[in-house]
Amino acid sequence: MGKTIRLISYLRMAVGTGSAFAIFGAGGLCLNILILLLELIPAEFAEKREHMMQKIVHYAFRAFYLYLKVFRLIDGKAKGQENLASGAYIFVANHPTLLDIVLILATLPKAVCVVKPEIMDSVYMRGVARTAAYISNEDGEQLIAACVEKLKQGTPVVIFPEGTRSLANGLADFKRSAAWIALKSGFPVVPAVLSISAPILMKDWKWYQLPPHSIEMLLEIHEPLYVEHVLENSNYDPVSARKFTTILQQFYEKKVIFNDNKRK
Amino acid sequence: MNKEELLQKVEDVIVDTFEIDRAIVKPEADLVADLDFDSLDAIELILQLEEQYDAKISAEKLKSSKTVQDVVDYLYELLVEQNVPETAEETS
Repeated sequence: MGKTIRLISYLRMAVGTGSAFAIFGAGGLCLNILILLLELIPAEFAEKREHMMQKIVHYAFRAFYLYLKVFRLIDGKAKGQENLASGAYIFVANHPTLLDIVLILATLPKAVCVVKPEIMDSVYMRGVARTAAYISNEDGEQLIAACVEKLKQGTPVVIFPEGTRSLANGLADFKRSAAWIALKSGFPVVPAVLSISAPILMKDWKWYQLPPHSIEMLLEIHEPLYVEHVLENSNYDPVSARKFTTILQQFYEKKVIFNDNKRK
Repeated sequence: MNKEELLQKVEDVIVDTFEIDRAIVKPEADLVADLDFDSLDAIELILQLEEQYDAKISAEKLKSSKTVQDVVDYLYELLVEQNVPETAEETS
């Protein structure tokens, strides 16, 4: 009997997750129609067009999370929004699942993301990613220059310092891009910790590797870190970038716990 | 300057610029795996070496260097090719 209930619960999760993927893909393609309309906006208003696309992504992802919640697949919550600086900031987060970026962008009303080059070429996402001016992480120097430019325009930048999804049993070594951007721009780093009650869509996992019950996801936004407050010397140089990255990694090592997915 | 001296100089630059423990800066040390270099570190290394040797270093070639010895080999060839004076500028 217990086994049957477990199987039914698993099937409910599998069907729900499968349909969520279908909705995500279809939604991405539908947004391309909106993009065609946005492209009518003259080039001199490019910044406005980017912000409109970022807003559309924000509301689309909010709707997507509502779907996940209503169908009891994932209950995503965010707390600590009061820690978001009033201007631009560098939003960093661990990356336990494919779905966390959805929760992040559903929480931040306006943001550009640093993404893998594959996203910029994906048939489902490239339209959105390019119109919203997302930044490819293919080239370190270009990535930093582009992020600094967006921050100066007042747009927050979202970056996963691990560069890819977290490993199943620990954080990967942080790349130094977030530190370089903070050192060059002077904007604060807002660290956010994501935790999930059960693993789902982790790195190298198949979409159907699911727990037989709904999942809770929490995005905890912490107080901003200013490089000049945590480093004695906050020059734009390799030593400062290394030191700030170590501080950031140590912060996450304390906050994120794997296996039982609870936070300290 | 022979290769041995050049190796010593390059190791000094790496230790000073990146504050990396001298014990791990060896000829066979892998720039990425052992010294944790990223692309911006490579640029900084180029700037430092260019300043020291008054030579034009190809970013592409230096970035394709895997180990400290590769950097030294490339730099040595370059210095011979560009006929750069054998004495490096003293920075300290």
